[in-house]
Amino acid sequence: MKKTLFFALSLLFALSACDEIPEGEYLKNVEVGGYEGTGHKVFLEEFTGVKCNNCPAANAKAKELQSIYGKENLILLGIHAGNLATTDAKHPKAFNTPEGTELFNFFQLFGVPVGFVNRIDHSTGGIIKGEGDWAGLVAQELERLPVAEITIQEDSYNSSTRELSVSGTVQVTGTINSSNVHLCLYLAENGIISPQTMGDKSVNENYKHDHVFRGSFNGTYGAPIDLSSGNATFSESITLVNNTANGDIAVKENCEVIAFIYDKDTYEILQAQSIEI
Amino acid sequence: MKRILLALFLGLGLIGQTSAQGDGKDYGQIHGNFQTNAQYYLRDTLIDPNGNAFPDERLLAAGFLNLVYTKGNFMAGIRYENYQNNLIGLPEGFKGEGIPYRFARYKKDGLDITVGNYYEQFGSGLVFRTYEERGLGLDNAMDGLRLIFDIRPGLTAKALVGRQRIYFQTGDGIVRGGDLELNLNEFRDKASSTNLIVGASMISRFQEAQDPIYNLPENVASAGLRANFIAGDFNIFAEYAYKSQDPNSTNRFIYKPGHAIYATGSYAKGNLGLILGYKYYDNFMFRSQRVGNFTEAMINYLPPLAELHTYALPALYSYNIQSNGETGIQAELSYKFDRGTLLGGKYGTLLNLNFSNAYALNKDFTFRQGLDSSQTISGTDGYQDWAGIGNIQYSQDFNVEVKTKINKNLKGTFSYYNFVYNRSALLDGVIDDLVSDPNNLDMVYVNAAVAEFLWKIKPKHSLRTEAQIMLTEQDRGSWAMLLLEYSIAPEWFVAVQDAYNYGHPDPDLRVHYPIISMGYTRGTTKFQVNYGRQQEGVFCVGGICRVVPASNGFSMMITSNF
Repeated sequence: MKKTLFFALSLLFALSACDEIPEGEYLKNVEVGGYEGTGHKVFLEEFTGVKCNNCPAANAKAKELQSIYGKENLILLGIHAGNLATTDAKHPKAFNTPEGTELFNFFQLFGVPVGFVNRIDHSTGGIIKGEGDWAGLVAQELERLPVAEITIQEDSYNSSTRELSVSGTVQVTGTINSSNVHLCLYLAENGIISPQTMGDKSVNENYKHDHVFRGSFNGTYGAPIDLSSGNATFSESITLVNNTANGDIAVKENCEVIAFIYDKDTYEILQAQSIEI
Repeated sequence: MKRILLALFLGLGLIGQTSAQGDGKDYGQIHGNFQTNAQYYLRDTLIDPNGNAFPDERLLAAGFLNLVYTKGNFMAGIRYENYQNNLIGLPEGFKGEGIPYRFARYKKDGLDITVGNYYEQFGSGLVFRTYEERGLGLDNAMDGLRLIFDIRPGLTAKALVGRQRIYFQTGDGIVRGGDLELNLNEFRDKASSTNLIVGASMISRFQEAQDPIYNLPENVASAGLRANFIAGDFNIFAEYAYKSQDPNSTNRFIYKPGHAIYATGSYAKGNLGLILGYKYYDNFMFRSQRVGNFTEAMINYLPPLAELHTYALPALYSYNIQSNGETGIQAELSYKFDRGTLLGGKYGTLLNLNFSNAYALNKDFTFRQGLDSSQTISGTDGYQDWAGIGNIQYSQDFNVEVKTKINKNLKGTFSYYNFVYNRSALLDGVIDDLVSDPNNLDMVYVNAAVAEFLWKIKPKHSLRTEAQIMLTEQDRGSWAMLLLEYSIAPEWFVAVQDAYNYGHPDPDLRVHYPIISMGYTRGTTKFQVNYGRQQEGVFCVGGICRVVPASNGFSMMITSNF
């Protein structure tokens, strides 16, 4: 009897194992901007909304990660979608796009803020992650070796038609275990000053929205790209947002173009690239 | 796997039928229950201008079937669930169909073994509670192994390991734990009106950590001690629990440990009943993974110590437990005035008084400068241990209920409510560390009254009426509601109700919310259909709430069991 009791108590105490982080060691020694990646870039798609009071904190988390790893290693995109990305009297601009809404519905999302890190969450059947999980997933993805290299260049911009044309190349540098690779080109805009609901439910009239998804050059899911020869080129164009009704007009100088290739069977992103234009 | 399970149960079903043919052998029994809810949504631009409650599918339906087979000490079961898609207001993560719950269990030699899914609770739940509440879309069932061992009469040990259900998957964290409970009277094989039951419980979560900024503990533990002392008319329960460092998305990645105290004392003698309660929850929301929304992967349960209101209008301001910390009290007094007395009247009168409140903790926050130069509490202790009562009031609820029989065919229940409700915190989710000035919070002050009558018209025929009024100058303003429900026992009922938001600050939204309902019961099967407008509200169970958006349409519910 005593042995049984002792065993049971020992089991309980053993199960209560916990790690204790000493005060002063809560934070790692983070060297901002000094990160040297493998060349495998990580693409973090953050689903957000102007009426979402938890989204500014999530966005700050994403930016914090980008400040650690650098823009050359971590590419951010804020996709405004869902019920909290709609306009009202306090939020005249919502930044939702048909492509963003299509992605939101396709991935069966049901709230913001959530995000995909290279869409690995989708390929493994996992649940899309909140901002608390992004750091671990980004760190994990950055350790992978690149399988391809993408270059992008601006070819032309017609200020009257607001059409932007870009081109680029995809060079295979590793092993791609997929014959169903697609290329996507997205446009993002930084520095948009527009109202956003904050954590305390107040509305910040002068909130600075960065990495705002403005649309796709070649459709929500892009187009197939043939990499059987080891490389391929692409050329696409897009018309910048020009909604004079609510003053939502994209500023070309604040835009960046994001190109990525992904396995259409799993939706996992294999490589990404971005340029400011 | 699903096919194997279905085949197994179809086989068991045949066995059950064979048993029913009466060959004298015990093949065991199968029991089950079924429920389905469906709603057809109509576009109503007045109450839902953005179309939030007007899904593309138009018709949404969700349902489940539980099947449990028992034979002697053996039990096995499955639950098939179907969401095509989930109803508006419920978590959309429940999507599709499958068998997310299956288990096998047997008892032998004092050992109770469960493999697969199970629900369990240690003490009041401060350390561990897994349960299902479909109305909230909450199901944090474990998937793993559980052992319950009756060491000797009055002394029980439990041990478990597994992962928690999140929609149709399991969470990232591994949960391990155990509980030991001693019932002194049973242990000493003594019958007495005085008894002491003590218990100790522990739970631990493991989740890998790869964060580049924070050194996160991969193992997080919570442990509690509890005692329940019963002496005649008195019953006193108290539990204290501690949680080690658990930086997570709910507490904004702070490192201070958590503390929780939950205590109740009751006295009941003759016509008098008295209950007093105290709660102190500090950083005590515990999930089996660091990031979780709403009700996902909750390991523990914080008793709300607040009355759950059932009448529609008072229920609009139900209390929602604050996961990052709160403290409060509750007092309940009930007294039955005997028949023939001044207040008891001819048939007797029951009086219930209830008071509860809840406040934020008085946190002295520690901030640091984040990498993006903003001030943040993340990566610090957050605030001091054992913070006292803060200056942010979450709620106060005072209510009185009088139940009486007016004559041999008429019963009445009369209630009065006085609420102070912090809408910013309880409904909008504003967290206390983001509050720079408590005076800017949206506080709602409510006075409400309800009169309910049940008139027995003739045998099997009755009419129930509710007249409700709720007065407030804040939020959506004042409401009035009338309900009439005619029943022909035990099969039929038909009800009409209208809630009128006559005091809404926007004159265009001073609208009626009429609903007509009808129900039919045959044996153990019930059908109910409703048509009308549902006002936006809050549905709460046990201090956990979800917002129910305003909607318009037809709904149907069928429940059945066998």
